Amino acid sequence: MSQRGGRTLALIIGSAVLGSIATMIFVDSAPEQGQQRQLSRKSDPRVPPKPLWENVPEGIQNRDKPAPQKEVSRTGTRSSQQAVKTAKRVRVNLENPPKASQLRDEVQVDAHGTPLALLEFAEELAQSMAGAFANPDDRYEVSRQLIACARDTDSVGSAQAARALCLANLERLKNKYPDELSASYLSLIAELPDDLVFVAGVRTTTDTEKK
Amino acid sequence: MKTIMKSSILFLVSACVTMGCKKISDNFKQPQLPPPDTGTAEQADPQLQISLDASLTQKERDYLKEDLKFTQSLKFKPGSSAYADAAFGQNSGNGILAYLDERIGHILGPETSIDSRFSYTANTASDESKAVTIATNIGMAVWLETIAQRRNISFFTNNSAIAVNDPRIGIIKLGRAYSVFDEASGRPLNTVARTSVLVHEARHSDCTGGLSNADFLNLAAGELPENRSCGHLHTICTSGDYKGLAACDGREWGAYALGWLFAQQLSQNCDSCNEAMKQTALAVSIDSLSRIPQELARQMRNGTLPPPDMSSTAPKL
Repeated sequence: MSQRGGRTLALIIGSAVLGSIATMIFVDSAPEQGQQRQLSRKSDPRVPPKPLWENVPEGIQNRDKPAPQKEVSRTGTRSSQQAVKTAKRVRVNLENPPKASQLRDEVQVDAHGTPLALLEFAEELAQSMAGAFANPDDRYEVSRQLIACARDTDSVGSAQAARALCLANLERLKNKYPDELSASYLSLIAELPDDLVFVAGVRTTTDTEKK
Repeated sequence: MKTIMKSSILFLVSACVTMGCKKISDNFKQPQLPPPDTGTAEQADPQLQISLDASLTQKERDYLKEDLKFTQSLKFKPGSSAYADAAFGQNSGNGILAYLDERIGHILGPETSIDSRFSYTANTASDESKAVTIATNIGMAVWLETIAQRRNISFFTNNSAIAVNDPRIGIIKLGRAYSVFDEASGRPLNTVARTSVLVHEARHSDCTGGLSNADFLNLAAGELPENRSCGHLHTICTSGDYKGLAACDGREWGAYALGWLFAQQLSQNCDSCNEAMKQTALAVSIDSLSRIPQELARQMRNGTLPPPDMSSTAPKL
C-alpha cells in the first residue's frame, strides 16, 4: 500500500468513526424533539399565565402610574352563563324599549358591537316609522309613543341610547311634518337631560340660534 | 472517485463534530414548527387582501362577501363630512373598503380555538364559543404579546405560518351573532350592523403614534402601553349606560369614533340605504357617540377636533 493510499484509508476510518458518533447524537436526540416541540408550544415556562388579551379588564392595570381613566385590552371575550342569558333576550318594541340593564348585560359580553337589543329596537322602529311617514293616523300614534319612549315616562329604566333613538326619530317626523309636531318636539327637548339630547344628535334651539 | 466523494462527506461530518456540531445540534433541537392543518383559506375578493379562513361556514362567508359588496356600493353626498373624508379617503364605498382591506387580513370563524392558531398558548376560556359576540380583533393583542415577550409568534392559517410582526395583520374572529341575530328564527344581523362592527374592529389594527421605550418597558412588565392610541384600546366608561364597563374610547378617534363616523354617514347621507338600514345606522351612531368622552364628542360634533390620524407604526423586535 502506498503512503498516499494509507493516508486516505486512515481518513476514511477516522471520518467513519466520528461520523457514526455524530449520527448517534442526532438519532438519540430525535425522539425528544417531537416532545420538546409540543412542550414549547403548549407549556413554555416563558409564556406568562395571563396574556394581555385574556381575562380583561381585571388582568391588566397600570399599577405604577395612576391613570385618569383605566384602560384595558379590548380583545378579551367574556363568555359563558352571562352570554347564554343574553341569547334569550326580551323582545323589545316601541312600547317596551330596551332597558339600560339589558344593554349593560350585552356589553359585558361583547363590548365591540352595538347591543343586539338596541339593533332589534331599531328594526322595530323602522317598521313604525315607515307607517308614520305613510299614514297620518299612524303618525299620531307613533309620535305619542316616541315621546313616551324618549321621556321614559313610566320610569322603567330605558337605556339612554334607546331614548335618544326615539328622540332622533321624533325629530325626523317633526322635520317632515313641522306644523303637527314642532311644539311638542320643542317642549320635549326642553325637559330632557342634555346628555341624552346630545347623543341623539338632534338640532336644538341653541343650535338654531347659533346658525 | 466514489471513494473520494465518500471520504469528503465523512470528512465534513467529522469536521462538524469537532468544530460546529453543537450549533447544528441546537438548531436541530429547535426546528421550525410545521404549521398545523388549518384548511384552505379563500380570498374574500380578487381585489382584496382579506382572507376568509377555512373555519368560516359557507353562510358566514356569504355574509362577509355581501358586506364587502355593500360597502363598495355605498355612495355618500359629496363633501358631507371632512372627518369621514380624512378617515376613509374618498369617503365613499371604495374608500371605506380600502380602509377595511388595510386593517383586516384574516377572518376566523366563531368556533375556532385561538390556542390552536398561534405558536403560543393563550389559555383562553374553553367555553368562549358560547359568547354572543359579533367580532373581535385578536391580531393587535397577539402583536402586543410579541412585543411584551420579545419573541416571535406565528399565526396559522391556510396551512401555513404567518409571523405576527405588524399590528395591521388584522386577525378578526367572528362571533356567532355575526351570522345569527335571532336564535329562534336564525335571522341574521343586517348588513349595516355587521359592517359597522368590521369598521370598529379594523381601527383596533392601528398602532397610531407607535410605541416609545417606556411603552416597551410597560409591555414587558405586563402592563399596557402609555400610548393608548396604539391599538385604540377600550377604556372604562365614566358615564352613560355603560358606566364602569370597558366599552368606551379613551382617546380621540378611537374604534368607537370611527364606528360613529361610518354610521353617521349611513344614517344621514346614504342614498342607497333603505329605512331599516338607516334606522340601524342611527342606532349604531347613537350607541357609538355615547361611548366617546363627552368633551371629545362635542368637539367632533362641532368640527373643532383635528381630523383623525390614520397612520400606524410597527416597531420591530
